[in-house]
Amino acid sequence: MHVVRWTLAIGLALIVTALCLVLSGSPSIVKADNGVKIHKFEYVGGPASICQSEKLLPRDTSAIRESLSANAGPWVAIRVLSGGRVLTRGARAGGWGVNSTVTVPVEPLSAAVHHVRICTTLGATVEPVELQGAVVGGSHDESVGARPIRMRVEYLHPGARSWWSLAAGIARHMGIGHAPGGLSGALIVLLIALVLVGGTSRLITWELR
Amino acid sequence: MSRSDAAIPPASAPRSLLRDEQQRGPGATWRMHVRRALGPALACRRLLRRAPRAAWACAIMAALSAVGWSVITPPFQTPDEPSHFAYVQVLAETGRLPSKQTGNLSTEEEIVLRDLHQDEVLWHTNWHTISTPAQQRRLHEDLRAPLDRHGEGSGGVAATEPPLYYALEALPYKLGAGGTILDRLALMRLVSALLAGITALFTYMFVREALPSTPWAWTVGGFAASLQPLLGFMSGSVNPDALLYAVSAALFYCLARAFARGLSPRLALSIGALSAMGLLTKLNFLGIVPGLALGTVIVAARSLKHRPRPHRLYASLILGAALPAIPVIAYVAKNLASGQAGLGLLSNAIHLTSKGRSPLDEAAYIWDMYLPRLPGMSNYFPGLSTTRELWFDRAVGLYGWLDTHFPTWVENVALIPTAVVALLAGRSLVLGRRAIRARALEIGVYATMALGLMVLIGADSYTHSSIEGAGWVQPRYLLPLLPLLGAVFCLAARGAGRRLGPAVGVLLMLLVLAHDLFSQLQVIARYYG
Repeated sequence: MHVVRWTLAIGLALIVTALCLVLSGSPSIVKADNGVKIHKFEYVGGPASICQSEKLLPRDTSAIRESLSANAGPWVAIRVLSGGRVLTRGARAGGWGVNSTVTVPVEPLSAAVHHVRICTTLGATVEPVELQGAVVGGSHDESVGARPIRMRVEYLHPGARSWWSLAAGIARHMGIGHAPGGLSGALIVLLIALVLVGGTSRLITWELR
Repeated sequence: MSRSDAAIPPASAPRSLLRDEQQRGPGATWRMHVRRALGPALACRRLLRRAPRAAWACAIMAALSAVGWSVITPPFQTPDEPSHFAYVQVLAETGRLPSKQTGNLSTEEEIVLRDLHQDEVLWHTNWHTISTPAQQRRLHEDLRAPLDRHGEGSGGVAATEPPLYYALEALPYKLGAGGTILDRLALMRLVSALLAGITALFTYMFVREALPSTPWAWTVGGFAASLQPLLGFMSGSVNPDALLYAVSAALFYCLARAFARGLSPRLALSIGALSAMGLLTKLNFLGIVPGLALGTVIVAARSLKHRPRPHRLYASLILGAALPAIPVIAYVAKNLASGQAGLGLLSNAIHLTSKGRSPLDEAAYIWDMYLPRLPGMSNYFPGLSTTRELWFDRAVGLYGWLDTHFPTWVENVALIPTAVVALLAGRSLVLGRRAIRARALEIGVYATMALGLMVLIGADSYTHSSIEGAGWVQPRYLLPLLPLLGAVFCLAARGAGRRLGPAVGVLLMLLVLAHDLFSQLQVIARYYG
């Protein structure tokens, strides 16, 4: 019984610690985008490589979100180049989706870089991947067999505010367009979470002796 | 499995059956007829009476978790929820089943979907739900407006599904008829959440019947299966899967009980009634029918040998077999009357499957969909490890309209506890290999049920692969097998041995609890963060 109680205490302490760590972090927010409005889309099969020029890679960019859509997306790798030199890179395993975008984490840079090329490599695909963006002229250097299309690109970085400080706003947001409305939804969720933790602890001490 | 798991002779004549026989007497004939007619309902009442408090605790917590999910998940942001709601609305407002898949939904639903920016939020994880005062004002004005609730009779993609779940959901819909569409949706989600509680109750009872030797481990298995976040998420939405999970869990329990204690007339009727419910709930149920039929035949053959007067069991078996036949006959008659192929959607699927592709090709596709490819097989999922990158990662977390999942590092870390559970369960199986041999037929039946469901999903994916790609790879389709997951967790806890087992059980239960809570946070971050 002592072992069970100690394990329960340690397990709960670990959950609370993990919760505090997660909520102390900040959500990724969009720092900048390339200004492309999505008007057109084209389907491409993999493997393929797509490069497009961009004016600016903001500093501290921790992830790049591209307007690629799939049910089960392929392996995706992004390289950001400046004059042939790779500034940063990142990759994402296959299987992402169902989604209209894919977010690839990259190594953050300490300074912004102007006039870069973002090259995206797609692995073999189960189904055609949808490229979303705007049609551009023939000067666009792509090699995917699709019409030249410039994808919408968003640059993400960790926001300044932690999840803790956003909690009140999120609780209010949860009540919008939802029944029950107002703060009651968030309170119900919080209460249920507490009951689940308490109920699990009670069940363990009852049954696992 | 331990030796004592096999201690109950599968073919023994159970006490309850003998008592049923002794109760027969001339003065009680009318009572017997009534009891026979109410067999499944009485069996259900008796089950509820004998369910231990841990089973009830698991049921309550599963239902509460699903209620939490129903509050967290924005309206109409779960798979096909607009269509499922539309089906219920057509049924409740007109008393008829939806007549078509295409066409507009009711004005009320179309307007609210527009106001909620459902299309923009769906599959766009960079979009949150509505939040500005102008958006709220517009929604509130439309919610108050007397908008048409009838539409053109379209049930969207749900129109081809059987009606039982939707008929059940028509009750909360009617109950909330005076409220807004969001009030009605919330009430309907609560009914689904109650079904999660029923699923959990039967899952616990299945684990107890199937692995009877270690009572403390039932709680680990029952709890770990019941608090799976995917169960909470799906049962926190309007979706017939919620009822399918409950019916499947009940059937697993009935079979386990029949294998352990023999097939009583009541149990035979319960299996028949539940099968009819399954067929009337969702077509995916067809996948577990072959295994279920096999299991029923085996337990019936064993029990008939040991009954002194088997005519009651024969009668129950015939009635039990007739019950699921009724919805099948009704379905064929409805299709033939409306000029369609007799098997309706199934006929189309069979036609598509046989069109220009070989059965071997289909079998290879289904294999590749679940397992690593064998040498010489075509590559149907190029660039993907379906087992790892589709099934496993998506089982770790795939919420919202299949667009919300954990970061990749979480999916990688999840491999560790999964491997530990698999190793401990494997150890338990090795130690209990004698019991496994003694119960090979029973285990074969459960495996056939699982295989049948997986083949059905694979075949469906195969017929739609040119359009949907890997869109059919959704772990929620496998949740009718939840009781088997409960058994795996129970075995894992036992596999840690007598001394460490309870402590490992505690860790497994807390792990599942944490998985549920962090999954909810992930969904909150996606829609409201």
